Amino acid sequence: MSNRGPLAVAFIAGMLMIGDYFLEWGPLNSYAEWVQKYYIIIAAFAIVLGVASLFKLHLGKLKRKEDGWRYSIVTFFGFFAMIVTGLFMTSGDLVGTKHPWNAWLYNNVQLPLGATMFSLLAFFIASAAYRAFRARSLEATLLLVAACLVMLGQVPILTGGVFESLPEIKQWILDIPNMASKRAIMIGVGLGMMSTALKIIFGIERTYLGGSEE
Amino acid sequence: MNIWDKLQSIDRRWIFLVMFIVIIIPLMNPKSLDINVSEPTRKAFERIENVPSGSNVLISWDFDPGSQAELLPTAKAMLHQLFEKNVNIVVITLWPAAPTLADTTLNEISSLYNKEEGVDWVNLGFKPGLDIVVKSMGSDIYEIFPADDKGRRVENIPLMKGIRNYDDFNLVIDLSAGSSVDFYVEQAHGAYGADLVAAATGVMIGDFYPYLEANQLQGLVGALVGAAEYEKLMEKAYGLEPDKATAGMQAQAKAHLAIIIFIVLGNIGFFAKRKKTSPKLESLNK
Repeated sequence: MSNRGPLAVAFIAGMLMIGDYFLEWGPLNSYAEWVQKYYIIIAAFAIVLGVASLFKLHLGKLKRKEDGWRYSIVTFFGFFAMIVTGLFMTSGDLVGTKHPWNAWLYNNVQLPLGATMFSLLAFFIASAAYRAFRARSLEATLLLVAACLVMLGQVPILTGGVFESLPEIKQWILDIPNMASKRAIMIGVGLGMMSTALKIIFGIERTYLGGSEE
Repeated sequence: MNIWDKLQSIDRRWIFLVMFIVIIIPLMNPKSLDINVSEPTRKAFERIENVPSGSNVLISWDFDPGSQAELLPTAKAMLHQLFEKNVNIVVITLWPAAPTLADTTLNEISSLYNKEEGVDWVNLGFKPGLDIVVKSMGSDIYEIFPADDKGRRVENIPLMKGIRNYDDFNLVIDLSAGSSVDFYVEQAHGAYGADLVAAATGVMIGDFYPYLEANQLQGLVGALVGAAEYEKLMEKAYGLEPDKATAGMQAQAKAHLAIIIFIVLGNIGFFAKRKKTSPKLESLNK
């Protein structure tokens, strides 16, 4: 009984948004725009929640002196340095991310650290590929051969003779088998999303309400 | 532990060392490679080449410093091309750590062409909401981005005077390190008919090929190799000196070869060991 209100809200809101996609009717389209603005405001609050969650997690690590608690101090240092320079400091007209200190921290700390983290992937991928790519079965062999051909075709290192057609082979793998499987996945995901959305709109799927389904 | 076991269990520190050597030497001593331009990259270049002078292009700068090695060279090459063609550029981002990177790059490249911020280009900054932001820009961009990255009201920015939604852009370019290309295909192209070109990281590129074949994307630049191809096209068309992507390709080529050699060594050990311990051989030995 108590779920009828939320179910009705979900049904009406869902039907109105579907209607907005297919119909050009002023009031309906204005309503959809209005809802979308609220979504963006809620999304902004999600960032605040994320920050609060990060804060809580690292504070707990510090309190309990868990393994790697010293890294939490570094996290807090970076956290407060960016917040103080980005929110509370002004330099003439320059505020927020335009403040020279905040920009300096971004360009000289966040930028190289971000690039370094991503660069480390090259080393871990090499190690993981060496360990994982074993031709143990037909499927694993196909994956192994396809991966090697794409890797070789991607870079112009082996050229001439039999290697001349490597870029074409790579492109064929990406265009035909890769695309066929991706399309199958995309269509499956699309149908799944549609059926889940319809189940929520029509009140068949009620787990989002929490508690029992009654 | 015999030789076959050793081949199957090389210490990862040796792998790291070899990778370090094969990457660092080409980076310190860059040489040009013979790069073949792939069809998706050529399509992207030609679509941007067909943007008329004086028209507007929206760039969605959806990557942060973590992916700059792959996407920044493409972004720079495309900015050079657009400024060469006197196209107006509006930049937005769905990633919170991206606006400063976009701003630094825009300032650097626009100064080479004497382009003025607010007149020839503008950075509207970050907005949370992902696909909803992309959808909402189809009706009114002023509602979603009331001010630019520096806090100036958009109605006071000369470049934004004639721009309200996707209809006012000749092309939308998504520089994406995530799945934002999906949002643009579904919302900007699907619902509002915007023309799209995308650049994506190597990890994501495979996901976007179906869009290219279905003409939902009009061009696709993939990973560092795509950036190097784009630099080659820019060198041919505008005489622009190849930048970091071309230099990085040699390191990537050597790294790929090293990974393949390690994979082959591991498999040699695997098959040799399996041959030795196969039940058929064991029964024969008995």
